[in-house]
Amino acid sequence: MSFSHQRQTLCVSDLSLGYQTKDREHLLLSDLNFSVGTGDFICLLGSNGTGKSTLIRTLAGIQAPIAGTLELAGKPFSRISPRERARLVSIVFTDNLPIGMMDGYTFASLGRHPYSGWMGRLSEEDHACIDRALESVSAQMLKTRLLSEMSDGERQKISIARALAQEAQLMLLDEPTAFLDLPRRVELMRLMRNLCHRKKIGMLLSTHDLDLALRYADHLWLITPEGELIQGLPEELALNGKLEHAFASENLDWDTNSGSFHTHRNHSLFVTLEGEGPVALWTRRAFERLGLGITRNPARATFSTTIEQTDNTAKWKIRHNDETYHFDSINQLIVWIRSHESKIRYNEA
Amino acid sequence: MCGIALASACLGSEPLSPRTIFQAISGSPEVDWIVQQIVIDFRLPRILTSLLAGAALATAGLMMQTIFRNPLADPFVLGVNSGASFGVALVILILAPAGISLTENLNASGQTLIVIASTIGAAFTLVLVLSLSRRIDVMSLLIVGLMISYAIGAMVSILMFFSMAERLQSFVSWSFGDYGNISWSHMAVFAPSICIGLSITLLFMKPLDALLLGEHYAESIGTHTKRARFFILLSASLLAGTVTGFCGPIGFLGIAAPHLSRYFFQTSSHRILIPASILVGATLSLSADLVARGPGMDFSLPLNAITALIGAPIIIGALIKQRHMKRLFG
Repeated sequence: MSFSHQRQTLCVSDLSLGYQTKDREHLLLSDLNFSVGTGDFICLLGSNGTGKSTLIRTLAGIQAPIAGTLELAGKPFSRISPRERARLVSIVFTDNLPIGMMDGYTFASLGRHPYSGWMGRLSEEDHACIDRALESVSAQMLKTRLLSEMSDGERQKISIARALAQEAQLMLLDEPTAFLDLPRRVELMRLMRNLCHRKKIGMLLSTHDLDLALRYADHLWLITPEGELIQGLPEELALNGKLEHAFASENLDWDTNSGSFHTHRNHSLFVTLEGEGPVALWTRRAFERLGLGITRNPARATFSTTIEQTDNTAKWKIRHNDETYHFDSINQLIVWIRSHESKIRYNEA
Repeated sequence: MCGIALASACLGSEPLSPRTIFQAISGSPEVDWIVQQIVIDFRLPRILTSLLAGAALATAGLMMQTIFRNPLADPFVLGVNSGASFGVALVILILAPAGISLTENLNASGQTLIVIASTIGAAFTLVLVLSLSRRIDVMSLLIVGLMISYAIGAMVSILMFFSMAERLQSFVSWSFGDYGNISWSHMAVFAPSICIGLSITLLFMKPLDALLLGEHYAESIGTHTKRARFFILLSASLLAGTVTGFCGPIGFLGIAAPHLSRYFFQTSSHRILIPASILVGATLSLSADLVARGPGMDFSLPLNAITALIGAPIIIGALIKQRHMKRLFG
């Protein structure tokens, strides 16, 4: 899974990880073999409790593996000092950040610790590096702001800037999108993918945003419920059904056509829908939300829906039991369906 | 601070003029022999003690607050002072009534015995907690420290329950805290211990900054977390233990001075906070002692009460100005 222009930064063989207590060990994942190269943007997906965070923590050297060898830049983990490791790996976790009297710049400058002397004094080069890092995540205006006054998105940005200032070849991110709203998530994933490619950093990012991972990752790593780690291109995993296997549950269906999961329902009611464009798409979504199935066969349909569109207005027409109803908005449509639901279903029966 | 130091030298049960003080120190023949002795053997060590103790407690408090990431941490969270008080309780409440009458009038040798006892007590809890510190995570360590404090405190209570009233009195007066018991011979141990503690702290400025992020992040930016934690706890406990050993348990300074330093300097960087805490701690300590001795009074008030009475309003004032605690701590 590596390209010829890549250098491998992290090589892992026969890794087993989990939690070890005195008399028993709880194995989460075992016999993992993989490598991460420079400029590789990898998204790690898996349901809760499958060991995503544990894997990332083990790779970050925070948690000791139960078995296996880890090598960074060709050197085994055990022979790498914390300072040396800090120059090779940076992390962005959603841990509590320090609160209070720390401004964005001071926080980002902590990323230069592996390069500064015992006093922590920063050279001109260090300052230039911090500025570059802040600039690449467009966080210059956060320099003088206190961390406690930042929003979750801003804090995430400044955390990434801090990690970038570390100038490591590998960056591990544990659910960086967790506390962000949707636009901010998309923005963050794009940013990380671009940084990864531009700065030739290997990135391993765990996330629950399947959709975003499918769109942005160079490679996907899937942890299956059986504790297996599957690696591959997003497209391949979607096509060969492995993605479906990793996430599908009783109430969830993978739709290969749309590339997303749907809650599945046994539709008891079917309707027809005629219309085009976004209005038809969102009407369809509204029907799905109400639990109505869409059919092309008028004989199966309880009622038929037609969308009539003029320049910038849309009207909906429903024919039910030889009667025609007109609606000016999706809301009116939904109100009518809801209030007539029992009647419609009764008729159906 | 110099002003307060001078005031502290001048005021006392026998008010002296600044001129007399300087003459006494420089050994000018114009000054009475007794006055010279008061200044050199009583007032100077006392000032030096209060400065060093304040600096030590403030620095220890700062380190504890950083390492436990908790604004309420003080130098004694790991049980150092309960260890010391147990040592002292043993000496005053058990050994003395059992026939060893060293502490009869709290004379010089009695003082030394108390210092030794409390230092051993503090050192014992210190070793206990430090030996655990490499094995358990930092939050568990905080809880362990608290539990040790409670357990030792309980033993002290039991000792007190079985003690005679006058013994109890001298134990209670030890627990008030006092800077006045340190002679120059004590100073030969006291000052170097504190200087060693402060020097260790200065070596760990950078790890302390990193530890503000929590141990995981600190490790990820190249901090040898376990080693740093060990030495920081060692120096904090050495500082707190030494002060408790020689002066009794002095509360509040250790928690107040770091907060005030953050408030004054609006920073979380230890390169500034450590010297700032030393300065603020020493000043607070000196002022508290000055007030406790009550200019012109023949007796001195419990130092512990004064530190809290001075410190609490200052902290509350700073907090109200700052609106919320979150911003004061960092």
